[in-house]
Amino acid sequence: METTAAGTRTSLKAVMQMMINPGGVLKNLMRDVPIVLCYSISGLAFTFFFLQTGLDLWRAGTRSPAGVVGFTFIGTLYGTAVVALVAALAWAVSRPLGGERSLEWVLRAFALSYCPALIYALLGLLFNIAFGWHTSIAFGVTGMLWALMPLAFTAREMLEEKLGAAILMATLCGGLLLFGWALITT
Amino acid sequence: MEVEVRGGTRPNLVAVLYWTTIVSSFLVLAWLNGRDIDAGAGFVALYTVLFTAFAVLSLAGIGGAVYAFNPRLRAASDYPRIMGIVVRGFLMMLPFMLMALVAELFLDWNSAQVFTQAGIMACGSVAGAEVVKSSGGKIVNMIAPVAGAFLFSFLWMLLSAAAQAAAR
Repeated sequence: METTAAGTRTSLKAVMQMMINPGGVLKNLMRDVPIVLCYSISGLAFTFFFLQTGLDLWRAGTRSPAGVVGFTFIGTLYGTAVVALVAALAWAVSRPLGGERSLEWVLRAFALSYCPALIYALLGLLFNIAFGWHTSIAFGVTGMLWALMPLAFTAREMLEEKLGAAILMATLCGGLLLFGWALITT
Repeated sequence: MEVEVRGGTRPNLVAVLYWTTIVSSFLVLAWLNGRDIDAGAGFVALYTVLFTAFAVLSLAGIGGAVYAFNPRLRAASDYPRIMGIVVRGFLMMLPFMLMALVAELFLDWNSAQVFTQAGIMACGSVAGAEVVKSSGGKIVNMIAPVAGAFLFSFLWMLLSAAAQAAAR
């Protein structure tokens, strides 16, 4: 029981710190965060992001309520399966560049990088529903951009502190996920 | 300027490369921001030059804040070295600039300011982490670069709104 409570505390600490000090989390706490929690975070972040995009488009008269529900499901799939796929690709690229992190570590770290995006997506959704604002760019995209910071730290850990390669990897992975959203929703 | 690297310092080509990357990133972002205001080519050119200069001054200011509020780092290094640590953090501006380019030129988003402000804040956090790493792991040392980046980002928004009002 105590172990479970300690595990929960560590996981929560990791989630909170990922927004402020991702380097510390990636170095010390990553293996204690369950993969289900990591993908719940990225899954929810993209679910809320796609939901508010659907709501924006519904208000603009270009999507039906069924379309909004469809977007929400796509968001869940995107935040879990697609994030995992991009993480696996990044892991494959990191191996010939000297990366020694395991696939499981990379899968967890990529998903947990979307902690800041979840906060923005949640706030955006609240403003979207409460005030009828169009929030997908102002909150949703900003959240996705914020995720670039932990993503860059993840890439740096994967690539043994190679700064240039890490920035390039974060750009490609973050860009792929952000512009993938743009392609799906237009 | 000297840039802190693993295993020592390298005064040099790396510093020039870092600064070139950062200044180019702000130059492109300033151009995209100016372009969004849509007040003619002369305005865009002036906006680009002034906001790039403002970005360089802000970086120097953040370096100064780290120098002023971090006695441990100040005792071990001089201003140029501390500036080098901050500059490493602001290399993260590159992905924001590249994504803003794609968003503006290929997707017609008109959202360069979102990319710029998110980029500045993210860079402040990365610079903060670099400062923490270089000053014995004390998380409190993150405050100066993060607060500096917040102010920089806020002033960018304010000045941009003022430029937009002046252009009308």
